[in-house]
Amino acid sequence: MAIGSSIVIGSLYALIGYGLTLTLGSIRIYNWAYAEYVTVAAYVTAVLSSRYLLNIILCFPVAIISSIIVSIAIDEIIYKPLEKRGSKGIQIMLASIATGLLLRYIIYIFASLNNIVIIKARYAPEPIINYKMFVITDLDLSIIFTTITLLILFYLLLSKTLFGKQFRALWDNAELARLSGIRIYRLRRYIWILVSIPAGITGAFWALYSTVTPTSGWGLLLPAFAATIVGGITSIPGTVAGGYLLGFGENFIMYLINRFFGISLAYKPLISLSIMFIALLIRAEFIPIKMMKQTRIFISFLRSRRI
Amino acid sequence: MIYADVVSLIATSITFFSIYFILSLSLNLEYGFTGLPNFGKTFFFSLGAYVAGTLIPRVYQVLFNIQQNICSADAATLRIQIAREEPILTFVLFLISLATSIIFGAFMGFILSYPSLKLREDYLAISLLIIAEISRVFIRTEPSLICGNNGIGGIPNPFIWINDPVVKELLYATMSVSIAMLSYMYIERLVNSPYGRVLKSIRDDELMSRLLGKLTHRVKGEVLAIASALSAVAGCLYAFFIGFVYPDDFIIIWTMYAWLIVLLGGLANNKGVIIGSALLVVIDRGLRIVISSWLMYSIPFDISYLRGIIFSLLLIAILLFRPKGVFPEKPLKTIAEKTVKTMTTTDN
Repeated sequence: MAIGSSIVIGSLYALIGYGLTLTLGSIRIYNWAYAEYVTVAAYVTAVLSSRYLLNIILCFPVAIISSIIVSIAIDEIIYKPLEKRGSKGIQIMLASIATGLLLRYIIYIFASLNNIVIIKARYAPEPIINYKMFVITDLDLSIIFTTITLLILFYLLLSKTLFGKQFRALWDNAELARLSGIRIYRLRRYIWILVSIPAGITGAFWALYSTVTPTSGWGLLLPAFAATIVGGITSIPGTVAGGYLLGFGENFIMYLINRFFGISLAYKPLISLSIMFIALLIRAEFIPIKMMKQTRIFISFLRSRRI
Repeated sequence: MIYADVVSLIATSITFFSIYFILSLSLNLEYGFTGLPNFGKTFFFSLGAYVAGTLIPRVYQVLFNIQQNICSADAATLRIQIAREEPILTFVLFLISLATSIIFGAFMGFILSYPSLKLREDYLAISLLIIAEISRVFIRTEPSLICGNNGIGGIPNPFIWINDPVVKELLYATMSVSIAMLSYMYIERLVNSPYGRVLKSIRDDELMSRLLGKLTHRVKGEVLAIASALSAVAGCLYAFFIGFVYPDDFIIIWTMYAWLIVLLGGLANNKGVIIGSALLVVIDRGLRIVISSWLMYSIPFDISYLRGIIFSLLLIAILLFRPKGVFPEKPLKTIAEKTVKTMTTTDN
């Protein structure tokens, strides 16, 4: 039971962390407004399926398209002008936090006007495997399957195609990419589309998995950001591994602690905090190298594997 | 009656002004002078409130042997009644929780920022933001500290024994303004000293200042400790003013207020912070008055949503059009400079 939910939650964290890392590596933005792309997609799915009784499968493309529209609009209105002004990373990060808050309050107002501050999609997951405590629903399976498929597809896209080549050029050096004739602002738009696909999918799955509130995207984003820190901020495999690690920490390890030491489940958030802290300590070399040699080798392996 | 309303409005505005001012002063010390982007201001702010919320009710519970559950409304009213009868105890408890929050804030600021101080500045920013939000979720679900999601009430105002509410509010406002001015004087002394020049050197070129033999990691840790203690003081003042500690009050919006004020006032300019916080209070109170008197609360949603939208738009606009702040940084006031000035004036 706990293992199943760890894998599912870990997949969602890995998806969001994946989108964050792609943005960070190529466009160099710590995009805190990403939470709101997820929330918008979740609301679209929940409203379409519960109010307009749309088929669940049809909700997914609509959710993805809505988060793409939001992300491109934000980029055109806020991020691109800031970048052209020559703002530094911290200023853009602050702008993204403000943008996220702006969107969240707009969603709050919209939701309280329509009386849908808490909403759930019209969908009940059916158990496929039901063996004593061990229950796996079709939703769990489809979340895991979609995550793996998406990661493989994105890997192929970024490593085998011409677009991927341009993307990697932008990742390594934006100036050089521009000098070699890549139209970086057009590329940037494609990257925003690419990046908001995981957000849309996560939002849609979240609407099926749990209830949607204006803060549900924010709640998912924080552990995902912690996962990027665990993975070393701009490493894609590191982030995915970090997402699954946090998912396991929050569900499986917490379950074990709760079972054997009787510590309340309220301490769940502290587990992800401590995982993040340990990662930071290792990175800053506060923990003696000899003791942590194995871990360090593992982490440097993750860091070296850039796409 | 109108007279009392106006005075109470002014007193409330002054109290909020001092809270915003202390909070953003500490952010200015961190980001404006030292270049440390602290996105966890909410956390350090909430620390002071949590100290008040955990300490005060428990002290009352033990001292007066209250039988009711600590979270219940009966216990809260009992605490208020006792506080009305015991002026000295109320005030002493306020001072004790202020001191505790200073110590606790400094300690937590140092501990939590320690792992990320050696790394790039963005690690610090992200990890502090995550700490701030995740710890709020923890406090919300953990019932033993401040009663979890419901929050804890009955934190008596230190001047609650005065019967006239207007005098009470005015006294509290005066006290918070004097605390704000004390911290302003302290920060001004700090940044105009040789230590302040070390801070600016870290901001401008950390490698250079390390080459000159400054222990930059330690200085950064000290700055975060001082600033976190100040933010905890602001949080403590807020808790005693509201009389209620509620975990969902401390969302990321407080961080945004502090950044907005610092950017409005201009980085590394403490006088600008005064103007920035005054402006924020005017907008905030003005919005409240407009909505309560003209619209008669007829809008079907919370005012705080509208306030959040206005402030985030303001922040984005400042970042887009005036990223260096409205009032720029002024040169340092060193003794050498003063001597040169007096010499030149006497020469003339």
